[in-house]
Amino acid sequence: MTGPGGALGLERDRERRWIAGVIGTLSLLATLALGLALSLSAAGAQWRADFEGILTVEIPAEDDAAAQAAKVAAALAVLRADPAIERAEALGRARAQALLAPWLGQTPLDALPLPALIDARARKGAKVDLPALQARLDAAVAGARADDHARWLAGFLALARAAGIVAFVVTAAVAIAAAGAVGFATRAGLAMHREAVDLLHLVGAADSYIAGQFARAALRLALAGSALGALAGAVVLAVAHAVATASGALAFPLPALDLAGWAAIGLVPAGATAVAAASAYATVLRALARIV
Amino acid sequence: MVIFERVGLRYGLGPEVLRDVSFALPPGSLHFLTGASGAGKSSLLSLLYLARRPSRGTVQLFGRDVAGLARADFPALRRQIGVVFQDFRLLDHLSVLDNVALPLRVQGIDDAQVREHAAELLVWVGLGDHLDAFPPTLSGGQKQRVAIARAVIGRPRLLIADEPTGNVDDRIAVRLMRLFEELNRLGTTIVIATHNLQLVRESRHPELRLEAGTLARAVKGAA
Ligand SMILES: Nc1ncnc2c1ncn2[C@@H]1O[C@H](COP(=O)(O)OP(=O)(O)OP(=O)(O)O)[C@@H](O)[C@H]1O
Ligand SMILES: [Mg+2]
Repeated sequence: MTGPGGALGLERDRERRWIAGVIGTLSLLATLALGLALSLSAAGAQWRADFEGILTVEIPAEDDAAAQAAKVAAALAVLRADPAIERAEALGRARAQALLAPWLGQTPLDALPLPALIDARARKGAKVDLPALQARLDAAVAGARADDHARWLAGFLALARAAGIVAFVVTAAVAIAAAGAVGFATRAGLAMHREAVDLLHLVGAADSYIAGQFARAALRLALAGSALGALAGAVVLAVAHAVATASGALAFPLPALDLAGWAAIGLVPAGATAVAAASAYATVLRALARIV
Repeated sequence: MVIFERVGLRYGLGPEVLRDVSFALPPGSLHFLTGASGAGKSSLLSLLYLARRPSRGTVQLFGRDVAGLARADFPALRRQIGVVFQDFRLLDHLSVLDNVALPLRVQGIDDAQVREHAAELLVWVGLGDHLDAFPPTLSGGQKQRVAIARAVIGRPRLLIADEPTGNVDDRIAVRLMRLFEELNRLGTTIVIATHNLQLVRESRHPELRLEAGTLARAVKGAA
């Protein structure tokens, strides 16, 4: 028994099932783009929090260890005199070696002169005036360089933002392609059911009723396709994240998607379904306005 | 209710299949429309149920000139018109009950109420035990009665029937005719196109006769 929803019997048509596959594939693409952008943006936020208030001062490498130690002491004095700085510690040679290891490998570094590093922390809520600090360091220690990692972080954040823009463009392109495919399929369906559509008109159906029939059929196909596509995309993202972090090949921590991230990915099928239904509805209204 | 004034109709670039057709159907009347095959009966009726607009002349329906109607005006007017098509035009993928319910469903009218009403009508036309059948499994006469039930379910002000007794035996034809007269007594204006001249002769209702696209002078006192 057919309910009030199926006057045209569209749910029986096999001719338009391919639309579920197209929408599924497009949803997979959107999910991957969105997942990548969300991970990078989460990583950016985490790094920004990690580097918040961290300041590193580098004293250049020198053959004369005693002279370098004196410079470190002078730099520490400058740093500790800054009211915005809570504490400042010189990192030992072992720690500096450990930090450089990823770049220099495990070669014995004892013979090499290394730059000395000072790790300083800003007071909570206080802002260190980096140019002023650098000027004071210049006056006290030749060659000392203060760095709050802002430039490096800004570079990464710009990358995350770019990924966000790419994801947005991919999602928009995917939505347009989905709307186009559904529009094409809907026009074919309208031609196929032309007689039944005429009959519906003759028994008093408004164009909106007929458009609703096609929108409902498109919605059903798009929901099935996009749910599968987004699910496949989510699996790919989870596996890719697990592989990337397990191999230890990443030089930085890549946080897994959080709840909000997964929720955003859940919006992909919802959006795809809405786009498909709206496209079918608008296509039918436009086509019917041209006939009779 | 309906006024035709010097109406002409042609299909595409073809010849006029209706020429200078003028008549009026007063509210509450019942008319037969007769004429040889190809005389233009179905064409004339299609103007009445708003499937086409006349090529020339004016058609007035419920006091409105059809030429002045906007697309959005059609559904409301068509809901006041019930049509039994010569070729039935049942939807094969819908059950008999759903076919009959269609005119109400497209208006978004409540399901349980519609089902009940459709079932009653089907009992009335003698198809009470075919509610769940599908049209392809029905005989011509059965399809015709489904089409009639569908035409009347919306309680139309104007009922248009194209050969409604063409596929049934005389006994059912008489019964269907009584059904139409009953509806007419309740106030429905009715036009019945038919080849069945005996049906027309036995009835006290007026006849409009089409001859090759023109209306012959009214017989039996038609307006
Ligand atoms: N859709 C159409 N396109 C072109 N010509 C048509 C169309 N429908 C009908 N005609 C022509 O119009 C003329 C009248 O046809 P119509 O169907 O109105 O006759 P009728 O009186 O209903 O005949 P019948 O008694 O056989 O049903 C015929 O010459 C027919 O060929
Ligand atoms: Mg005919």
